[in-house]
Amino acid sequence: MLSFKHIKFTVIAMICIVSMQIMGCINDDSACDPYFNEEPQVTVQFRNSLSFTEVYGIKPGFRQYIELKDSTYRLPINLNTEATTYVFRSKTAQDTLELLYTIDTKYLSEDCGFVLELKDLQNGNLTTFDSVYVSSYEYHVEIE
Amino acid sequence: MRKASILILFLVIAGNLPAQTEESQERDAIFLKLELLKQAYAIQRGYVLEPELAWQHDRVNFNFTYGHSQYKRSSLYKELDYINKGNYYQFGLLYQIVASKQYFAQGLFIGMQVSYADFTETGSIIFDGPYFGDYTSNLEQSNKLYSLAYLLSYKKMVSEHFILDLTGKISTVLDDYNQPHFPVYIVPGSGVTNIFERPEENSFMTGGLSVKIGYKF
Repeated sequence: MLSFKHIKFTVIAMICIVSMQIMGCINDDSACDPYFNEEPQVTVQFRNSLSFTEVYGIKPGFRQYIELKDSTYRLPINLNTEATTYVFRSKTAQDTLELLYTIDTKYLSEDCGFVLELKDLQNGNLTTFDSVYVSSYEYHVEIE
Repeated sequence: MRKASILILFLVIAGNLPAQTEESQERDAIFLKLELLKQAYAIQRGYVLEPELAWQHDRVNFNFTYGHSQYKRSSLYKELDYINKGNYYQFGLLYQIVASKQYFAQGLFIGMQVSYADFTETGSIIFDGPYFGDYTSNLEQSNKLYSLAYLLSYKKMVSEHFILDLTGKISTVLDDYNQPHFPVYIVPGSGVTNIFERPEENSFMTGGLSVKIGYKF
């Protein structure tokens, strides 16, 4: 005969097993790194602490500001061109950052589907910063 | 195309002759055949033109097939609007292991076939661009692949001039067909190489069945 304790233990064990299986089925986005499922973002860091009043990427139409998040700016990459220029405005000055890159599309896996690979990230001629560090997974641009 | 297939079938049935009793003395015959099953499958997905010219000498059957196909599919690998278009050329050699005494070229055959497919796969996917706008990625990959197929075929003379050809085949793609953008989905003339649509389960082996109707000259 099964005691109440045995039944209780079995039920708890089953709940644990089912929970673990459900958690295992949840998509882990990091499994698709270093690839992107939408417009990629690169992280920009400055050696000197600069305070910008406006940061935006140059695009036709309207100006959309990029917000500071966790003390860093995450710059979106324009997929429709192979260069993106950003404007950083402070109260006293204005600087530009130009990034050059290539984009590849490929089918990665059943879970990740088609992904974008950001490659050959480089600094462009329009950049006016003296010191900046831009990174995206294994690619980074350092201007000193 | 569907009407043409029905017309051919009607001609076959209408032209069916009573059973022949004396033994056939024929040693050679030339056939022109058309594939029906792939045509039916291709309706609303594209088209397949696959004429076969065959020469039967005693128990040996030599055949050449030229194929031209286009196949469309949406949401392949979840997201891809897919088009496969190309040509293929097949040389086959069959041996008749079971022969009918009354009807020349009727019976059971085994054999092999070499196939060369030259085709292009294209597709497009849209990626979200919340800041700079959406991006449509247009992918294209060209393939030139050889395949080897093992054939088991039953051919039946349904009238004096018409023959019905049922052939099952197991085909092996001989070349490495890994591509940078996405796994090859169909090798024209050989079959679907990624039936489960997972890159981890690319298969060099394909299987298929063809139903052909032919005319004996």
